Amino acid sequence: MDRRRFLKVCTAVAFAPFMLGRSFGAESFKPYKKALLLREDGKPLRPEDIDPSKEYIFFYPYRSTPCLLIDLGKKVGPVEVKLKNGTSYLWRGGVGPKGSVVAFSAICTHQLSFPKKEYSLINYYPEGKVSKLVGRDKVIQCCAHMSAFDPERGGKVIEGPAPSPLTAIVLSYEDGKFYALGTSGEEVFEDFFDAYRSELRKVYGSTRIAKELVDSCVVLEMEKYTEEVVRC
Amino acid sequence: MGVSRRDLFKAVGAGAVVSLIGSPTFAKKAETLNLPKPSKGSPRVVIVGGGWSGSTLAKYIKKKDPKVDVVLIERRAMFMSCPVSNLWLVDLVPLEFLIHSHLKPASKYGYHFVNAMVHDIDREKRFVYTNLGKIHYDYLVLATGIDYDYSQWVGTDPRDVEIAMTKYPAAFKPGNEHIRLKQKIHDFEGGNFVITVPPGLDYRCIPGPYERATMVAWFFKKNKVPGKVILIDPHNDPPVKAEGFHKAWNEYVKGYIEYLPNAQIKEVDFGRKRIVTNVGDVKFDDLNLYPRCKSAPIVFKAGLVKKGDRWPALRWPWYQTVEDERILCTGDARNQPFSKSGNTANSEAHIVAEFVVNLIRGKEMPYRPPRTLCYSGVDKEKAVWVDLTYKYDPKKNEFAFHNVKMDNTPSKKNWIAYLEWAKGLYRDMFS
Repeated sequence: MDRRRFLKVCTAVAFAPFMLGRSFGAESFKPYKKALLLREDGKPLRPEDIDPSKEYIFFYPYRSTPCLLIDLGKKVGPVEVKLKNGTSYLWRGGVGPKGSVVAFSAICTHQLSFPKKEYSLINYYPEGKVSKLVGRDKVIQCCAHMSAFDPERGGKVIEGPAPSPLTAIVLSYEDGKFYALGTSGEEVFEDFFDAYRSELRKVYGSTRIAKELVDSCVVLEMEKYTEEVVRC
Repeated sequence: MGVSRRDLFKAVGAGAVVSLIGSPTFAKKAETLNLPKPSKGSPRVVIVGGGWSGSTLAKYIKKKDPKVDVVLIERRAMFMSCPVSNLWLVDLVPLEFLIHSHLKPASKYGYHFVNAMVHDIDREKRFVYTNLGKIHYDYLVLATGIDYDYSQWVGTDPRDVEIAMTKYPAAFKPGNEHIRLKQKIHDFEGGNFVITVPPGLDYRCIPGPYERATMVAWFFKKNKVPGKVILIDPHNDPPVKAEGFHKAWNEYVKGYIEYLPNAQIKEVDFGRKRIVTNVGDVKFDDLNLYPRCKSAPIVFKAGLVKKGDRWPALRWPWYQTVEDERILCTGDARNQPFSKSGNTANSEAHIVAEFVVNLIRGKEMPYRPPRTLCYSGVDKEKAVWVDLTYKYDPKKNEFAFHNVKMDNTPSKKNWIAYLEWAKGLYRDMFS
């Protein structure tokens, strides 16, 4: 059995008891390379390294596709996430000692805005940082077109024009270390690669390199990664 | 009795009109444009106008149902954005920011892009006539934007209208007008540079003239031009983002702008370079004359506008015309009292694409209003925004603004969001 099939089977077994008797859609899990999350100094990221009052960025499953890492401070999920076409899927929820650490792709499902070195318009609003748009904290919001997502509910759209939830990054917590395993929900990676072909070529030299799958990810504070964190 | 050149034109024109009504001779001669369909029985939607509404519609109809044949007809060879153009006028974004090609989305999503001019519509036989040939439709969407109505301020003498259009272009229809206006701003050496705001709210880009006046004043200040912008406004205050604009006028460009609210224009005297208003005459050294707006000529020609109106009568809350259920008017061509803006047209087109596909399938869908998110620059790297949607009351058959939010504090963060807002919308239409 190859690794990919093994992962799928593990997932199905792990969630079978939970899904019995529920009308949830099937769990949507697309495996990619298993990638260890690292601190800036190259050591494995530990739960105590993640401050709930901050947001973090890492690149997964491709070296050019940004994700947000968040400690919501409390156990979250699993949650059924509904899509516009009437289907739904199961989001696993948080991982870590408290079940509070979650990750989502930081590419807005509306029109693909994502954090850049110069600025980030899509950000997490930690406790105490209230979004003017939705009047609450603990949201992920894209200020380009005012879409807001709920990280406690699998990245569901709270408000705005986004047609679908943020793509969830499936994490695991094993022996005190965090791993990214794959994605859950609808992906927009192909649209991203197509829309940003020129920009990705400038940053990575070629789209082939930009599309390389990663097996480890350095996790950075968003404030350190980007010059301007734009919240609205 | 001699026949003057003008009379001759009148006679020829009258004859042409008669022949169109009585016997459409040109129609018989026009060849059908050969546009292959996905399959022989594919229904066809023809969209006239490749602006914010039409471009979005073409893509999303194909995304929702690839079996529908979609033809996008646009007379311009490329897309140029009116949103953000005020920043280009004063060199704060390059031209490449505004211009985009229809070819990538046409090939990626599989719609036909026809670079042609529509000159007539045969509603009975459902043909659109272009300079390249005729095209049959099952449904026709007129996303034809706006035209200018000079009758209120300039009159109807074609010589005066021509002066207005060529010497003092409004520059809210991208292309020639914007390029000319940019030249005029950059060549301005001093005095009064007058900008006008149309009356009412049914003009393209409600905050557009205010943003333009502010940014031109910023440009004069930066380049130490011994002159000022005079903004003639029939409203008592900017209808949106007033606080943000006043902050700019009182702080960032003070001395370079003069705001004249409640100023009703009675006459534009090109010869003496003055505008006669109820609050006094205004002398101008140069002028950006933005008059009242109306539908594009083809909407009138198709018989979709009632006598005395400027916009087509539509079956609210949707977009089918009262005269012909096979024809829809969207974007700035609609008559719903939505903000005539790029973002409104784009968000509306996402909904209309679904509506049209349902229409073809004989299905109904619940009404959803569009959304308007609109940024305006008020200084270099400072912007403000308003975000709202609309609410339809079926009992009263009325629309109202709904869920209005705004940030009137000029900031660099809003400026960054402004540019990314535009890039995102361009991505939506052209990538």
